[in-house]
Amino acid sequence: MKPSSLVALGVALRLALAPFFMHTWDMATILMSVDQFLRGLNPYDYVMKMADELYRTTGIPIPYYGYAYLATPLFIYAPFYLLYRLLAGPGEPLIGGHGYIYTGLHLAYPQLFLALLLIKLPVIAGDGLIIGLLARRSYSAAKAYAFSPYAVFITSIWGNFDPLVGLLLLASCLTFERHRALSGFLYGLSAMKFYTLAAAGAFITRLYREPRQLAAFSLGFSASMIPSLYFLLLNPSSFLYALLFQGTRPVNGVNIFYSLVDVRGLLPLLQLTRVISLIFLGALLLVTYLLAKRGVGLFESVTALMLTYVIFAPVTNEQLLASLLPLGLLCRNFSHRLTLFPLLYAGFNSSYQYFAIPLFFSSTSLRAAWDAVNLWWGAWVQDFQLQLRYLFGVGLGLGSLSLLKGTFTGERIRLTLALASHGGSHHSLRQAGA
Amino acid sequence: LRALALLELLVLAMLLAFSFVPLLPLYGWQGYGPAGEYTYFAGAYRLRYNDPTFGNDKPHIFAHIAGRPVDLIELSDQESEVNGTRLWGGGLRVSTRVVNGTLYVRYEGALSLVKYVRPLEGGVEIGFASNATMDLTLTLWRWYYSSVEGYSRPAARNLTPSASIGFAFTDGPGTFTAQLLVAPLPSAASISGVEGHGLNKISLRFVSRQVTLVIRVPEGGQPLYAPLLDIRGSNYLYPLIALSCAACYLYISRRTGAL
Repeated sequence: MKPSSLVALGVALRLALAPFFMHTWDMATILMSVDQFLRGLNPYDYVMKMADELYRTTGIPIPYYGYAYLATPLFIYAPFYLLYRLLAGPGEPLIGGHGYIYTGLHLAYPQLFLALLLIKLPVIAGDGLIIGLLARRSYSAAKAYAFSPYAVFITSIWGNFDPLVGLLLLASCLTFERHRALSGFLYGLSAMKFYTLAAAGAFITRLYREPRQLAAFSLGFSASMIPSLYFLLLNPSSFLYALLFQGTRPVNGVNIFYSLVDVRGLLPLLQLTRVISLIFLGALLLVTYLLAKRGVGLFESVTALMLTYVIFAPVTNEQLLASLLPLGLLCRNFSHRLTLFPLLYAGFNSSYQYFAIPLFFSSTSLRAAWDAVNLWWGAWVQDFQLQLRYLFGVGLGLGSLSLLKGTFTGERIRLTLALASHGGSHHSLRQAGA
Repeated sequence: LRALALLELLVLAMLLAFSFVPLLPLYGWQGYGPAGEYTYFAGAYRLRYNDPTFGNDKPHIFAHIAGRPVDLIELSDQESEVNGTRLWGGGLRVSTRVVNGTLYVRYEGALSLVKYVRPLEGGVEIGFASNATMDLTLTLWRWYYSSVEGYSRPAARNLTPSASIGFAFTDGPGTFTAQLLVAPLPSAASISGVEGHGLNKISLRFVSRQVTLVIRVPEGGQPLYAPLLDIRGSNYLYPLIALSCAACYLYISRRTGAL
């Protein structure tokens, strides 16, 4: 198959699924914040207002899970949301996405399908670019990405923009040798979800002895922050609140710390999160130092630092690997099989049927079928879902640790999940030298 | 590489240490993120008081049976009213606090109303107190009741107001009985349900300044519960998973000679 056919197939697959699936909470956040932005309102003000209200109401110092990213995605999504408005007219396609699904969620049909398709277009186009860029270096990597169940899941089923972060991180690495300013600009854009900042050391350790190059990279990085600077100047407190939110979230997600989620008291959990954050920072510095000392290449250094994030960061969402996948597929210290863990975790966290809400809520009979599936799924998994999520978190953490080690041992890493021959499911990690 | 080996050791040590955290004896009301719901753990009951964005589960009461929290009953603020105004979604200003082991919910609007949720030795007490006589309608839900006051057909019907309402529910192979004790006597009581499924709603109307509900599962007379899976002690799975995975990881690492 020609690379162009691969791109076309990968994009077509994503387009076909896009209108019918979503992560309701995240899609509500994206649609609401872009709508606020286009109406001249400040989405960061809204998040801070909601957090204040939450504190007044509950007395618990918890953050509100709203728009807490840099401003770049607002500008990316805005034209597509405007196009939706142009085609569908006024009226929200999704109301109550942050409320109780059974009674508070209102979906407008067929507008919702159109909104989902259009709002996912920039990320789908980004996936097309990723496949094209990968195909120029490794056909097998491009093929793996085009048909990766995980990549398709995050782009078209979940509907989040982490794959766009992955594209920008990949593009930043690809342009680094030839164009420092452009590389810095792309890296800055990739920081729209903050966690790529973990890889900063890979760039800085290559540049700190060349002040002019460092200045060019920094200039590009700074230019990418202009949209965010606008909101910082508009209301520093609400913008900084959103930034701090990501740094103060309690432990959660697919990681080795998931057992702490059973600590129901928020305050002890926040204290433990601070300890873990300090360990994470220490590990990041150590790995950065070791990578620089051993002269590991840029691609593998960035991958290794992102793996360090996966292992040590207190909050690692299911979508996180989408930001590493495009670059990782070109590196020997990454394995596509790692994506199996967040893919399984998502099923036992949100549940797979949760993502099919747009499809199933479109008619009474489908809705009844969704309720039945939901009840059935709940009955089977409710007793052990926390422990299963923990197992997947440990799998991802130790799998990443194994790959991180491979960065330094110079071995070709293979991460294998084998089914035992006696029929029961059995997971094993196998690391083998090339 | 020694530094990397130490880092590896640190990861395994953290994995093992944190896996024991779920075994800590944490009881009582706990503020629980991420959205601000409150959870209570202790002995025979577990309570969940939903976060402000939801009107259901205010609270949701579970009975601990064979280690599993079995759905007992739920009070819905979304479907309950005071003087014709919904307790949730009706424009009332609501705030929740835990004081000395009791959860207090303050509703402020035309009148001031306080709800409290207090776990007792043998049940859970939910009380309402206001600064003026109020017309309070409460709805208590379960999907589904096997029977309420002996009625099992899901037809809407009025009940004779009584200080004690008995209901039964099925979980796994057993059918349990529970009691709802109310004071003062409700001015009206009714039940309703969904045809083909069962009864799911008890409505009680009070005209009073103070209302108290106590929900309890009597200890005697319950079926011998034999669930398919007894999950008492399932928290031990955390260290078990951590130990097994760490052992597998070390075995594979040593075998392949990495580090």
